[in-house]
Amino acid sequence: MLRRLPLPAQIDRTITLGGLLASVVAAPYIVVLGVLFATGELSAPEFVFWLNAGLVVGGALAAVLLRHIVHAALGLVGASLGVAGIFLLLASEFLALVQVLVYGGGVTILLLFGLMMTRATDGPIVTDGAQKPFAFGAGIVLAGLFVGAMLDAEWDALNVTVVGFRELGIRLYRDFGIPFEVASLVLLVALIGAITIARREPAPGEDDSK
Amino acid sequence: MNLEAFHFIGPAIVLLAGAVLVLLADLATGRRACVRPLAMLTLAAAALYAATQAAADTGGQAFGGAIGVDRFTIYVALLLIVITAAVVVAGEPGLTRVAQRGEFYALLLASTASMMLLAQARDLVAIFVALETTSAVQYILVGLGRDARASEAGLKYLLTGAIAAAVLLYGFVLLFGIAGSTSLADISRAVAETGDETRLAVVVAFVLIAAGVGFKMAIVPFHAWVPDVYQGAATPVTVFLSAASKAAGFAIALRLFYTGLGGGDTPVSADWAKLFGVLAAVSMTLGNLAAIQQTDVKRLLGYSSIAQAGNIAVGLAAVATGSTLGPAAVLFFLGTYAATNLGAFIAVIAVGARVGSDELRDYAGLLRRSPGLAIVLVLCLLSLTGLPPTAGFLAKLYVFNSAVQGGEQWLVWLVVVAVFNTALSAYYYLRWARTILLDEPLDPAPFQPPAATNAVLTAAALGVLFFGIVPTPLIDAARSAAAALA
Repeated sequence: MLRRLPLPAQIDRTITLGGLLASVVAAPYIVVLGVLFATGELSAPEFVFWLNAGLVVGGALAAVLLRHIVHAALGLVGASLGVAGIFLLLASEFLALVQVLVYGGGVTILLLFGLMMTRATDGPIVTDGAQKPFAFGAGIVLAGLFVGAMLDAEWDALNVTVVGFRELGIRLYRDFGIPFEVASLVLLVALIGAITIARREPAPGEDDSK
Repeated sequence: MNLEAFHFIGPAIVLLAGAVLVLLADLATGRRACVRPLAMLTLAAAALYAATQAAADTGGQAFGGAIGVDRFTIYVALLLIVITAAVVVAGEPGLTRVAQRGEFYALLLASTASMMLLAQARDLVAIFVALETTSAVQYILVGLGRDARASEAGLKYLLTGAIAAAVLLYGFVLLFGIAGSTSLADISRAVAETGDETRLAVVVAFVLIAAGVGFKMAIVPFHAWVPDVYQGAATPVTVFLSAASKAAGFAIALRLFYTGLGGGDTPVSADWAKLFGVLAAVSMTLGNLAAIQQTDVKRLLGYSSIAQAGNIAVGLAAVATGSTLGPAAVLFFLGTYAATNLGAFIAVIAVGARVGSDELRDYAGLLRRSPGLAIVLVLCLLSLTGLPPTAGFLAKLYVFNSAVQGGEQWLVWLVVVAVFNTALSAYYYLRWARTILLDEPLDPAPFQPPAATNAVLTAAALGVLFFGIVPTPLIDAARSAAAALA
């Protein structure tokens, strides 16, 4: 099984090594794509797709495999940006924007803030368990099933239509009004729950309001 | 969009408004005493609303077809309201570890509302959002409490739940890819026309969806969270999970598989029926074998609920026959199981509040210490085993009958496995009953549970006996609810 990447603790060496490693992996990929594009094997949208797909897969692998949790979070940003690129390719500019703003920006920043606030050690954290081989096997089986199902099925022809913000708003607030409102309910209960669970319990006899 | 749309989700709106009121009342008065009556009042109002809908035979769709109301949703809504009401009325003695009563009752009401919306949802997006709301509230409810056990249970529930949600979403995405729509009606049409080339995608989709909702139904192999969560959570939360959450899980499974994947007449229905058949057999067997070894009654009831989920899933497998007999049997089972499980768990709360532990040996000689409590508990245990004249007997009979009526060989074998498992389960249910009735009490001091507990216990016992002797009203309701599914 894949050995975890042995990254040194010093930031400067880490950056150098990480950059080197990324370019060693990414450069051939980009070169191959570029050659295929130049020789006309790939159309422009396909070229952009494979570029973004590489970013998504690479970012996701980095998020899972890197031991340093901040590096893993940065890998997540890369994956989100790749997904945003694919959304753009599908002419869903709104989704692409949301993907960058909410996932690439908001969620990851929150994650990093969370790490800082909780004084999580920014050194390597061991997240291994005895189930790792089993999880690996289950993941492989699941991935195989997905790929099999997707290759096997005859999907409807992809027709990319640009959906304007206006139509999107109408769909979101009229047709999907109920899921939208229920989603706000999730936020409400999550907020209540977070406060209730995180609040320091008053000792018996102590006033609740203090 | 018109006002009728809001009339359709009226009971859920009432519950959510009540949840907010409970929070505000808790904030304004700072007194715990006012929140519980307010929660009861809210539940009564919602029940009244749902009953009016039932009386007027309200039916229809709203919000672009994302939400519908019919006899099925009203049946599920009333069932959920009754379960929540029982938890609110009789749960108080089991809440010693939970300090925040206002939040507890508000979350309970919000969870019930989202489960009602879940049963009403007819669109994958609406279903997923409602299911996630339900789960989010339950993670919090499990984690409420002063001790590390509750926190651990909450975290375990959250982690496994998140994975289940992701798996469910994978399935939904595949269905969306096949049908090009998130509406269950469109999906049902697309699946009915499935040719060989998309067959694998449909099969993978329903396997993943079965895994996702199987988590809610707590069937093997998606059950690993059950014993720890049932034991770690405050007992009223455990009751709520075992009765309400399970009912909602089966309701959404019926909706997804019967309405969405086309009941008994699509090219894949025989496949998923067999899947549920296997899951049912494994759930029953493993649940019962594990339950035999338990000495903590909450863990025992946890494993027993896994085995019972297997029994209910026999009804899902029977859907392959194409008749509404299977869904009707599932709905009837859910109703009687709610009464039975509420009775057993509330007795456990009463004993736990008195003894301070949930060990099996503390039930020794309960008959001499608190005769009423003991008799109700034994009655519920008989019903869980499936012995006449209790409702549990008829529920099992009805579910097994729906499978045998199908006339398929493997369904008959499934029923054979189920009957064998009933004998297996009798061992630990009746062993518990014997401890209660015959053993010498460790502490002979008699005790009386609180009046509210007694009232709910009496209601549960009457329910178990009444539906065991005069099942027709509930069976008719379940039948018309199942007919509305198609």
